[in-house]
This record gives sequence, C-alpha cells and structure tokens, in this order.
Amino acid sequence: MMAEALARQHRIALTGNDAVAYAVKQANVDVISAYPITPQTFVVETLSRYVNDGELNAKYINVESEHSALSAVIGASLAGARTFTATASQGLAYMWEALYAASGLRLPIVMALAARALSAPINIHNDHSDFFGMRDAGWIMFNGEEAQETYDLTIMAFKIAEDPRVLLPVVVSYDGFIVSHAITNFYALNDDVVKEFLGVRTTGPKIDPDNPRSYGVLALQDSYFEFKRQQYEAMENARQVIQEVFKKYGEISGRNYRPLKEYMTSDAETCIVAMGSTVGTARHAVKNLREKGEKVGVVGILQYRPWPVKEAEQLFSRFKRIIVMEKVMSPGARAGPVYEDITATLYPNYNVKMIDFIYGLGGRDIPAQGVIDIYKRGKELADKGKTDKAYFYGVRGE
Amino acid sequence: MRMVKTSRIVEIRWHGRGGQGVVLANQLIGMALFEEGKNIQTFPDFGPERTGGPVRGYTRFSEDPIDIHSSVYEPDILAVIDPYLAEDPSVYVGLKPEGVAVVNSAKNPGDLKKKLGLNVKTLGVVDAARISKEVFGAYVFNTPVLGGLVRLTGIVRLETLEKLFLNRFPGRVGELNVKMLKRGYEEVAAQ
Repeated sequence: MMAEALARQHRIALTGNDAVAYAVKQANVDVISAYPITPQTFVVETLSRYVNDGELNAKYINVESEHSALSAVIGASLAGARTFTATASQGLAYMWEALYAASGLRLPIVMALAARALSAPINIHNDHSDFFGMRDAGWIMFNGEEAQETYDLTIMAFKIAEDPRVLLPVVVSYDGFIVSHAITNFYALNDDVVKEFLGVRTTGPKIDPDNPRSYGVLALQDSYFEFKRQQYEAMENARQVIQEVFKKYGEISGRNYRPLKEYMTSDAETCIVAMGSTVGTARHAVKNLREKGEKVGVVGILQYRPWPVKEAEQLFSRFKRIIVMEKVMSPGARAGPVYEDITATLYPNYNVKMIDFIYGLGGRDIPAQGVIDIYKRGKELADKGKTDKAYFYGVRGE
Repeated sequence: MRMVKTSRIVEIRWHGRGGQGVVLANQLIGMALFEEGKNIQTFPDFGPERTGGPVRGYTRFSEDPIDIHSSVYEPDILAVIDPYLAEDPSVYVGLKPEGVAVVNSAKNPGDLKKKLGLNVKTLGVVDAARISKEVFGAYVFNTPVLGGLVRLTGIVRLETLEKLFLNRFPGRVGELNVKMLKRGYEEVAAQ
C-alpha cells in the first residue's frame, strides 16, 4: 500500500460483525434500529455499546421485530437522518414489505446482512437464500468476501445511497459465521478520513413542519407507474455513481474495487464464478489448479444489483466454460439466479458452455478441494454439453 | 524446538469442551499473532455451543493475506485442552505428520503417543490440572496448554500473550493466568 494511503488508516483485527459496527460508528449515523438475530446480533450489540458509551451520538431504537426495525429506520430516514439496520435470514424475510417501502420512498438506508439460510428446516448457518430473496426489492446489493471488503463496502454504501442521483437503500451482505464470527485483520480508515469522505446527509426526503409535504402517498393507475419508472432510473444511475465512489475510495484507501473481482482470468479457458467467502477459497483452489497447468480463473461477484451488465458482458464472453457456484436454490427454475443473470447478459452471443452448481446450503463447508472437485466435474459436464440443469455438490449420497 | 513450516498458511486447531476456554485460547493466540504483524483468521467451530459438549476453534496465520475460508482439516498445530479428549484418537485426525500436538494430560508424552498410535513429529503434554490447581486453586485448562504451545511451536513470543492476558483480565486473575502460562511454557514435556 502507498505510504500516503497507509497514513490515513490503521491496522485492526475484528470479527466481520464488529467490522460492520466499526464502519457504522465512523459513518456517524443518526439513528439505528434493529432486532437481534443470529448471526448478525453482534453488529447491533456493539453499536448499542458505542451509543451507550457515548462513542457514537445516535438514537438507538429498540423494537419488537425486524418489520418494526426497518419501519423505524424508514421513518427516521424520511426525517433526514442517516440510518442503519442489520439483519439475517428470517429477520430479512420478516422485513419483506418494508423493503419495498424503503426503496419506493427512495430512502438512503444502509443495511448489513449476515447471510444465513432460511427455514424450514431451521438452520442458523450461511447460505445466500436470504440475500437473493430480496433481489427484486429495488435495493443496491453488495457482497463482501471478508471483513476488509465488508468494512469498505459499508462505508461506501452511505456515499452511494445518499447521492442525489441515486437515493436508494443499500444492503451489504457478508457470510454468516464464516465472516461474521471470524476475527481477521484489516485496514480501517481513520475517523477523520471517513468523516471527510461521507460528510453529513444532506440529500433525499426531509420531513419539515415548516414546509409540509406528503410522502408515501396513494398513487393509483394514473401515477404509480411513473414513480416506479423513476425508481428504475435511479438504479440505472447507481452504476455510474458506484463507479465514482469506488474510484474516490480507491484514491483514499489504496483499495480499488470493481463490481466483478477477477483472479487469473486473462488467459483462462474456464471461469469459476462465486460470491462471498467462497471467492477466496476458490482463488486458493485456482492457485493449486494453475500449478497443474489448468487454465482456470475466478470471478467474484461484489456488486449484484445493479447487475454490472457491461463489465459482465465483456468479461464472461471471453471464456469457453463458466462454472457458477451458487449458495441458493431456486426450485423449479432452469438454474440459480447468478447463472441466469450471466446467460441473460451474454444472450444472444452465447458460445460459452455454462454449468450451474448448487452447494453449501445451510452452512455446509466448502474447502478448497470442494472447489477443485466442482471445477473438474463442471469442466467434464460442460465438454459433454450437459448444460440442461443445475447440479448439486456436497449432498450426502450424491 | 521450532516447528517445520510446511505451507505458507499455518493452521491451528483447538479441541476442548464447552466452558473450558477453547474459544478464548484460540482468540488469544490469533490476537498475539496479529500483534506480531501476521495476517490472521481466527474463528470458532460453528457447531452447537453447549457447556460440556465438544468444541473446536481454528486459527490460520500467514505472512501473506489469507484467502481460504473453510474449516481446518489438516492442521499444522493441534491443541487439546480436555484431558479425556486428549486420549481420543479422533481429535488427531488430519494432523500433519510433521506437525505439533500439545495436549492437557498428566501422562508421559511417549506413553500417550504409543497409546494413541500417533504419527506426529512432536507431541507435548502439559499437566494443566496440576498447574492450575497449584496456581489458581481451580481447574483452568486453556492457559497452561497455551504456554506449552508457545514453547513447542515458537509462533509468538510469550510476552505478547502475557500482555494480552493482562489487558483482558486486569488485576489478580490476569497475573495468575500469566503465571499459569509461564508454568505451561516451562513444564511442557515433549516427545
């Protein structure tokens, strides 16, 4: 790292959850409301301690459910506050109708999601079912691989959300337990650097008794569609804004983010696509495979919504085979959501053989050898042209 | 007594029972490595957490960034703080033959190695029950084993851990833990 960038930050070791709380403290939020749920609980526990100890001058609102948590934050955001909430799994499911209210009202709320499986059967461990469940809710969606990315994305999330061209809520997801509960070292920006980067919130709705307006109005056949059209446009605008924020943040921190993270892709014939902590494990596996002469690379999805169409088109059209690893299943669909995003991006210039693997549901561990197995099997299936369905990896007896 | 580094990422696996301090010992070794400038990753096993039930903890460290995010299957270093688990061959599964195991046991390391049929370069035993009874007046299994682990592996300096203990437990508890740490360091018997 450049000496200049290094002087703006400090080395620290925290769990993924505490890294998020640390970022939120530095973002100097005004209002936090959340309901505890494993594996996210430590985020809001740490934040409530910051508030209690006077390290963060924010209002912490205790509520009886996630539905109320997001609703409270929606109210505070309408009043002009910088707001934050966090959740996982069933908690996110319980927020569902409020998710659409937050984006429809164009509120720059930031939410952390310690990604976890959905019931039934009950399971507290990581997969991406909750994350993909909110795919169409109109939120900007990021995925951190480890504490460093999750911390950086949380800070950038406020900047992106509050940009007047955007004004949309942002979710920053990271893998429950694997990232949320692991202590790792990373670089955190100094408080004053974050303060200067983010400033205070000045944009978006602001309820003002001296200037009364209506928010969340009834909009029927004559106007609802126009609201939605503008919301769609805001998400389109986010592409440019995200790029600008990534660039500015890179200049400050020395960490340059891109929507799609590439590893050894330049001469790769086969590309493994993954999201979350598996991206790192896949890089580790690819190092091994490269030593054996396999021309393989990894693409990690950091920005899921807006889907980076141009970047994806340019990148994915280069490969002979793409093996998509998804920690989510969409029963009855052709394949998983990421597979479908990629095929839709490449259409109609579709010369790539694509294989979809569902893996890791409910926290089933994926070691580097697992990625190697998926690569070998995926390559064979692709070459045989058996691309007509999604495959499972790691199910006992299969 | 320095361990042979076989990979750029060194992996440690802890075994014990809920309530014995596996998570804490694992965190402290991770934080000591961090204090000494290493890249670290330290996390508990994500199984059900019950007092008395078997618990595992994992730490990875490296000079380079650590990209792997799975559980630890083939540790370079194994620490077992429960004396009964220390005699269960299943906890040693995956331990690298050139690795180091440090366990809480009153047995002679050679006898224990033979009894377990263990193929590992170094097995160290620390009689944590005796040390903690003498120093603390109650059983503390994790701290003496941690001392033995530092001696046999040399992965951190003892002083770094002493400081962490004193920060974490200010006053008498911290001081007694440092004493147990040192006793474990000095009294570990290895073969």
